[in-house]
Amino acid sequence: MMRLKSWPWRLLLLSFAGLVLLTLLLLLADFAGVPKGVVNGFFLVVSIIGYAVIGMFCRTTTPEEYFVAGRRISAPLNGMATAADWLSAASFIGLTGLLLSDGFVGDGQHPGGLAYLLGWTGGFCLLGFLFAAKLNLSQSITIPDFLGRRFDSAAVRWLAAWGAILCSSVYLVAQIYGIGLVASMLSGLTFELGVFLALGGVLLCSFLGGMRAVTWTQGVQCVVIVVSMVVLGMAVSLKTQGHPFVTIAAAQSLPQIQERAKQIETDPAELTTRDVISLRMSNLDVKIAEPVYAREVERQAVARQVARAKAEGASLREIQKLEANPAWRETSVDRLVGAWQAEREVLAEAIYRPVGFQVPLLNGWNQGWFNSLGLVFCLMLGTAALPHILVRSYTTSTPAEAERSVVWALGIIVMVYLCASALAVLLKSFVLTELVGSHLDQLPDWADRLKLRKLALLSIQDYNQDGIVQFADIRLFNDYLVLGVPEITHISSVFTGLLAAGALAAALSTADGLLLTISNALAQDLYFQTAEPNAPPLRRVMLSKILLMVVALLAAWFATNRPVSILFWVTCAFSLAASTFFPVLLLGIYWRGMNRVGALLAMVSGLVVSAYYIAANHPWVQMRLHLHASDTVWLGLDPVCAGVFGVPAGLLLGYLGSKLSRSA
Amino acid sequence: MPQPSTASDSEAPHSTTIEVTALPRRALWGVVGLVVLTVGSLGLAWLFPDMTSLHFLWVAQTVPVLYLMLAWWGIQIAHPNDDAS
Repeated sequence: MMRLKSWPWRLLLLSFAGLVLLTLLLLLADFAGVPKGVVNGFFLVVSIIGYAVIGMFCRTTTPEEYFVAGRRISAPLNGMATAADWLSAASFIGLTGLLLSDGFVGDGQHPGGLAYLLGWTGGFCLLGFLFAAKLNLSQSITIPDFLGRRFDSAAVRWLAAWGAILCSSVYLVAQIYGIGLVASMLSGLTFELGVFLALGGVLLCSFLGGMRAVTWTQGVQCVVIVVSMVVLGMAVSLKTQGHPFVTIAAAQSLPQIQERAKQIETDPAELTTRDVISLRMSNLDVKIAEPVYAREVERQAVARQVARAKAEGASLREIQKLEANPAWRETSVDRLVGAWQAEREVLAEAIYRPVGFQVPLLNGWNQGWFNSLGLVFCLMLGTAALPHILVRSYTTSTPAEAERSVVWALGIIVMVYLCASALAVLLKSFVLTELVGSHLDQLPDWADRLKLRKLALLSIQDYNQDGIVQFADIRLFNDYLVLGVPEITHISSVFTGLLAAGALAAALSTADGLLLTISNALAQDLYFQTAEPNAPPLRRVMLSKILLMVVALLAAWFATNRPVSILFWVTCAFSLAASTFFPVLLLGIYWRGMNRVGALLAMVSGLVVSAYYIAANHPWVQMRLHLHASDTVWLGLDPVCAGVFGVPAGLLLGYLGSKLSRSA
Repeated sequence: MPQPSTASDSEAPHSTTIEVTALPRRALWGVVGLVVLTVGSLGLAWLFPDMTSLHFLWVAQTVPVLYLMLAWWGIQIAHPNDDAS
C-alpha cells in the first residue's frame, strides 16, 4: 500500500527534477551558442517522448483502469490531473495576451480580461460545492452514464452523450489548433506537420492507457505547466525589477504604465492615426452596404494601379501586393463582404482596445459590465459542467477525495493565473515604452523578430504614414502572444522552449481528456448502450480506443483546414456545456421531482437556445442568411455569453417538464 | 504493465442508486459567497474604472486566492460514504 502511495510522488518529483535539470543544461547550451532551434526542438522532442513513455508504461485493457483509472487516484494527483486537463491552450497561452490586449475591464462594450480570470477560477468552487462528491458517489463511468442511471432512461443517456460530444468537439478542435501552433513554433515544421507530430504523443498516451495513462501524464504535464509559468514570471520579474516576485514587480510597473498610457492617449499623432482608421472603417461600411458597385469601382482602381506599376517596372512583389486586394481577388460577393467585415473588425479592435488596462472616461454601468457578468456566469457554470472535467470526479476513491482534488486543482490553476496576469502587466510596459513611439526603421529588436517569424505574433501598419509607431498601429496576436515573452523581455531563449513546453503540455493534456470523453461517449453511451449492451469488457475498451483514434484524426483534419480563433471557440464550448449539463445536473442531483421528461427538455432547450445564439451571431451565418447583428443580438450580449439564455431555459423547461409530465 | 481483464471487470449493471439529497447548507453558503465576492469585486472595478492598481491587486490577484479559500471552506463536510469506501 505504501508503495502505491509513494510511487506517484516519486514520478512527479522525478519529472520536476528532470525539467529543472533539462532547463539548466539547455541554459548552458544557450550560453555556449547552440542554435535556438536546436534548444527549442529539444524541449519538444523530450516532452513528447516523455508523455508517450508514460502512456506506454501505463497501458491497460482493463475497463475500470481504462475508463476511470481504477478509482483510486489520490486527491493531490487527481487535482494536478484536473488542473492540467483544465489549463488548455486558450487559458495557458491566451490569458496573458487577452489581459494585455483587452485590459482588465474592457472597452465599455465587451468583457475585459478580469471576466475570464474570475469565471475560469470561480467555476471550481461550484464544481466542489455542487457536483464532485455526488458524481463520485454514483460510481458511474461517464456523465451520460450518470444521467441515464439517475433518470433510468436510455434516451437521457443518448442525448447527454451527444451533448458531451458536441461540447468536447468544439473545445477539441481549438486545442488541436493550439497544439499545431506550438509544435510548429518549436520545431520549425509546418503547422500541419506540427499538429500530426504532437497528436502522435496524445494518441500514444490516451490510446494505450485510457484514463489511467492520461492521469499520470497529466500529473507530469501539470508540473511542466506550473514550473514553466512560475519560472518565466520570476525571470521576467528579475529582469524588470531586480527581484523574483512577479506580483510585486507588476504592481511596481503599474504607475509607470498608467502615466505612459495617458501620454499616448493624448498624443496628437495617436489621435490622427485613430482618425485615419475611423475614416477607413466608414469607407468599409459604405462598401459593405453596396458591395457589387463597390467591387467594380475598386477593381477598376486596382487595374489602373497594376497597369501603372507594370509600366514603371515595379517588382513582382509590389504587383502581387496590389492584386491581393479582396475586390480583385474574390469572385464571390459574399466572400468579398466577409473579407471587408474581417478588415473592419481588425480596424475596430485597433481603436477600441484600451491603451492601458481600461479605456479612458469609462464611467457608468455600461454594456461591458453586462457582458462581463454574462461571461463570468457562462464560464463558471461551464467549468462546473464540462464533461471532461466532471469525469475526473470518478477517478478518486471517495467523495471527500473528489472534493479535495477540486481544491488542489483550483490551487494550481490560481498559481498559474496569478503569474499570467502579472506577466500581462509587465509585457504592457515593454509595448508602451519600447515599441510605441519608435521609428519604423528602428524598431526594438524583439519587435522585428516577432513580426518576421513564421508564426507572427505582431504586425504593425503605419496608418497615418508618419513613419512612427503609434499604439493603434500595433496588432498583437493575443491567442499566442505569451510565446514571445522571452524575446520581448530579453531573457534567455531557453525560456521560449520552456514556455512552449508548458503550452504544449497544456494543450496536449486538455486534448487527452477531451478525446477520452468523446470516444467513451461514442463507444459506451451510444454504441454499446444501444447495439451491444452485453459486449465483453475487452471489446468495449478496444472500440473506445479505435474511436479515440478516429476522433483525433478528424479533429486534426478539421483544425488544419481552417484558422480557428482558439479563445472564441473555447468560450463557446463553456456556454454550450453550461446550458446543456448544468441545469440537468443541478436539478437531477438536488430535486427529487426531476424526471426523465424534465431532463430531456432541460438538455434540449439549453443546447438549442445556446447553439442558436452562437450560430445566429456568427459572421459567416449572418452573411449567408443576410442577418444583421441588431436582429440577432439579445440584450446586447456577445455570442460567447449564450449560456445566459441557455441555462435559464434549461432550468425553466426542466422544472416545467417534470411538473407537467407528472400531473398529466 | 498491461493487465489482463477479468470477469469482475465486466461492466455489470451498477447496483448503486443515485441518491437525491438537499443541497448542504455549507455548499449553499459557499455559492452565495461566490456570487457576492464575484459581483462585488467586478462591481468595485466598474465603480472605479481608473484605479488599475485596485483591479490588478484585488480582482486579478486576491479574488482568485479568496476563491481557493472559499472552495476549501465549502468542502469541509463529513461524507457518510467515505468510510464505506
